[in-house]
Amino acid sequence: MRFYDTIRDYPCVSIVGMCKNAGKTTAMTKLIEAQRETNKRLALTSIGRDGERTDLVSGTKKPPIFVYSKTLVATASAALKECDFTRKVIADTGLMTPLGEVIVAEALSDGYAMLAGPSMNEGLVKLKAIFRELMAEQIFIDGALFRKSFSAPEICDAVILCTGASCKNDLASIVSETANAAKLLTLPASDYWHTLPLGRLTCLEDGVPVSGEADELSKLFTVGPSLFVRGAVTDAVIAPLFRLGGAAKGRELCCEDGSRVFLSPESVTKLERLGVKLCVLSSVPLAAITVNPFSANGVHQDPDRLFAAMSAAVSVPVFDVMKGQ
Amino acid sequence: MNLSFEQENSIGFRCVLDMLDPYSPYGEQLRRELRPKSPSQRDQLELELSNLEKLKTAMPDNRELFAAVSRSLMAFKDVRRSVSRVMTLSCGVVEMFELKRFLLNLQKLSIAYSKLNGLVGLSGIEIRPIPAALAILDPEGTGTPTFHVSERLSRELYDIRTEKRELELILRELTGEERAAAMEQRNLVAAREEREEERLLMELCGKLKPYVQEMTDNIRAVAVLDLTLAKARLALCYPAVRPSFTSGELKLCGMTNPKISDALKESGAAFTPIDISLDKGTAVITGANMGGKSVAILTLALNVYLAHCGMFCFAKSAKIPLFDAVYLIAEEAQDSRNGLSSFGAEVVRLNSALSGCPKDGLSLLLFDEPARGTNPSEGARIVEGVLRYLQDKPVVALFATHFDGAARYAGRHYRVKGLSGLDRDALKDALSASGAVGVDAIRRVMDYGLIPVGAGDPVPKDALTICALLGMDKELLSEIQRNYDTEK
Repeated sequence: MRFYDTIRDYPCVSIVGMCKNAGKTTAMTKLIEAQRETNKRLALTSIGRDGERTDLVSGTKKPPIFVYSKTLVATASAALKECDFTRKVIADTGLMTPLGEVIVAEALSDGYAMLAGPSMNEGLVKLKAIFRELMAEQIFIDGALFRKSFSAPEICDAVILCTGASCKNDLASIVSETANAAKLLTLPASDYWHTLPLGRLTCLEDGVPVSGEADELSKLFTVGPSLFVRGAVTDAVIAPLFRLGGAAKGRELCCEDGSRVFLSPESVTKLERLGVKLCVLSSVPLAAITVNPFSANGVHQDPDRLFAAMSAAVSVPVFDVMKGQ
Repeated sequence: MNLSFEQENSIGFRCVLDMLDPYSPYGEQLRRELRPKSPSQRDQLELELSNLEKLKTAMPDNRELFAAVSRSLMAFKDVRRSVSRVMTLSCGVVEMFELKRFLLNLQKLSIAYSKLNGLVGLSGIEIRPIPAALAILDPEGTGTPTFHVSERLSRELYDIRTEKRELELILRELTGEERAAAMEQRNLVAAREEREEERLLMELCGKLKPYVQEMTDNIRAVAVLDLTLAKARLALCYPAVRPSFTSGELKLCGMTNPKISDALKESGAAFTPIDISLDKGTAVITGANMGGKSVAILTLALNVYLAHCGMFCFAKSAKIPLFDAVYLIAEEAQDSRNGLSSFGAEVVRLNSALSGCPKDGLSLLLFDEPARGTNPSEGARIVEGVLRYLQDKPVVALFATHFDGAARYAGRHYRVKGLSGLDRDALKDALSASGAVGVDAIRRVMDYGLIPVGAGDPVPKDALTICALLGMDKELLSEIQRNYDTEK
């Protein structure tokens, strides 16, 4: 399977990195190249701005992403000046960033693009609607870092997770942390919840939603078959569940989406052992994981070993983005 | 007009401003800057009011025409920054995009507006499209709201872009070192393109510069049209009337105050429209506690203010002189913060009002319960003194006061209808039947209307009735009642 094939049919794809220098830009560049052959109109943006990038070899600052003619690029007005494709301004968005309003431009030629898109969820939702009006057929979002980033269902239809040697210094940690992130991103959808309940905690009492306070987790958990937790779910939040023992078995803990779950691998395993099903309101498919064996810190990994270990640890396709570079 | 922000708030003017909903950023800015005009701007006010009247009259039966103008107004974004960058020759592609869209919107608006104006005939508001400026930004005449630096503008740019395209086609096929070398070459061409685009953008700025004044005039016209339409929509929401300007008579019939009437509506009560007729000289309103004397003062201030802002008055009819100054002398929440006693603050406010009233103009002075913070016998003397002092000054002065005796020094005397004319026992029965208690109960039976009082009319004793209605101890009540009896 080719890398692009993993996302070929998703209208909106978010590309997120486990850490800096995880190879996100390289992955995005590969996708853009492959996407060009489909002749479908591509639209690009990012969540906020991913710092100033300096070409490590030449030391010159240059925008990192090379786009092709006819691509739609949504970026802040000051960042648009940094782009060197021939620009046609098509729309403004009313979305403000520290670098000015986000502007949608069409590339009339190939060239480098500096992406600095909206930094809020609502902004991206609005921008997607504008892209659709402008007949974009596929949208790539440069999604910044995993955790800080948005892989929520209202934002994208699929996620690509980029990881690599820059994230941790030993192979085992890189693989286990990435596998855990992948697991949290691909939590199954809930059997009970389909719309977002209002309270911090909501349980089902005889099929009727009942809201409760944050400190009532263990009490509410055994009321019905599923407990919904709004917002961040951390190790500390779910700690009371481990005292429930057998009473917890077979019940469901439902979170908003994978990007709100901050559980350690140990907690996830403990929940599994308790027989608790960890799930989300609606899930976004993780299309692929990319690995980058080169580290910005100098501790490179053996490409074949990293690829093999990562492939063994997850059930989604894994690609080495540096291969062929 | 000299009301402070807090006073504009308390009379309900800020609330009315918030109800105005212009559609464009230009109308919105004009709304925020809306301030009362002075008598010297009477012609301007008459013009604004006549435009407003035409729009208000035509609006209900011509929804489609108005909707078309509204839609055009909604499309405007604030391009004033871009316009000013034309002057400094520093527009980029984004600014040019904004200006082009502005010019296109102007064309659309002028079509919708000329249809509407053919019907209503407004004066002083002209939307003039600038086709010559549009042609500069849209040399191909596409009429699409997008912008790029066109190759038609220079042979140089055309050649550079052709070269760039050719290089990019080659680049697409190359890999490795060959690609890197070709990329280097392409980047140099891109840099040349950048420079040529910048030069052309500056040239476009220079060509647009002669049209800056026309653009600014149009922005002003869009703002005025937008805000006048918003005023007309508001005037249709509440009963409102065009004020006519007089040389001294101040007469408002059936006036209301949206801020207060909306608050009353929420608590289930209704605002009693107020009639008042004043002239140069002094007048007092006396009457029961809780009877709405202050409401009458605030409502009058609001409607006078609105007339000076070129808006309709919330009333059935409105005759208003144009004032050089309006003063509201009332207790304010901030007084205690400033370390003044309420009486002290009042005196300070009175001093500045008296010294601020122009001798050769007309001023409106509104006193809400003056001297209530000091002892009643001195307070009454002070109020009477102020009334006598103002008698022959160029002012229209209205006092809401507890001091019944003060009325004899005033030109006119109004009383809040209050609870007079209602039999107290019947009142109690009606109240116990309705189940309402205390303040709510009083609000239900209180008549907030004003009635003129003739000399020698008896002073109603509503305060005692209110004591009874608020459930005062029986023994205490009869003790107080005895006081009233011995006075007779």
